[in-house]
Amino acid sequence: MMAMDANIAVKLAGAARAKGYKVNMFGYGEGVTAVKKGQNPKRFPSVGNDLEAAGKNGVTQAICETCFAARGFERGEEIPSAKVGSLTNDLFKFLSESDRLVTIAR
Amino acid sequence: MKTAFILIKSPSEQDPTHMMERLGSKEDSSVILFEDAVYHSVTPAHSVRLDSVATEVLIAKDDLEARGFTTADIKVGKAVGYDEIVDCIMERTERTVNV
Amino acid sequence: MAESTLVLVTRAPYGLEDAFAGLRMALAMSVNGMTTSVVLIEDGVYNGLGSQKPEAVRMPSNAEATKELYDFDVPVYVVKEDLASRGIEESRLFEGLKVIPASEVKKLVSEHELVTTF
Repeated sequence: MMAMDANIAVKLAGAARAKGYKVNMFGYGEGVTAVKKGQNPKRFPSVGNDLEAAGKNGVTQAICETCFAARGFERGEEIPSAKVGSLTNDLFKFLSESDRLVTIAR
Repeated sequence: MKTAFILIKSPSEQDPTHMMERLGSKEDSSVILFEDAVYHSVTPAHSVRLDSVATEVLIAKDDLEARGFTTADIKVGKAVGYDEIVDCIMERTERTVNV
Repeated sequence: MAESTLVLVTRAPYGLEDAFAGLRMALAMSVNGMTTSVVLIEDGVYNGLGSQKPEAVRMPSNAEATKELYDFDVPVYVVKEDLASRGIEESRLFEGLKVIPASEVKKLVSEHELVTTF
């Protein structure tokens, strides 16, 4: 089932950017599907498109490669704004340079 | 230690107030309701319960309205935009915890 | 700039990947030198059972993923009341876990700059 959780995260990131905050987003577990290129949800909002727009607005994005591969995706299948990365490098860097961590998950 | 609790699930799916009591105190707790968690604010029993564990209740206005409710239906908290939610997270509290 | 993270593991093992994911995240933070702590709370306490046989469902071991944290001095706490309410004797936990009363979790939250829940 498609959840709207990633859409909430993107909206929150956009609002934080609008206030001048630096924002990093990391996709972990099921969250990695948000960066899959070529999403076509038809009548639903495309979180992929929204993430790309957020990327152009300065929101840094990375996902867990292990989680991406577990779901059958390969490098190159991600939207251009997202980096296929790792917990050890990217999430650690994000957290170590952050004042707040907001987890949107079920 | 001021904490902003993030809720996204319906109160029928999960009662988050037990965890909120364990992790924070009413006077230092804010709670932000997204998605189906907005139902906490409009149902009598759940709104009372939420009010007992947090001093500030913010409801994502777009999620509330999408589900057919208005500010007139709110029993606890206030409906706000994302800019207000960012202020709560970044300025009025010191950390967030999703429950 | 954060130097400490608290990972709350609230889910039981093997039905969902959440608990394992939380333990791996804690490992990734700790190997980089971030002060990291883990709390097994609510259904998360089931991750502390020493008699787990994840091979029965062909899953990676959450017990082993927890013990790997010890190499990086990550304390892993288990909430006493949540063990009791599930009828789990402390003697059934694997070694190295620190059983604490629920009242201490609040203190742990306040001692860490970032908190995340799995």
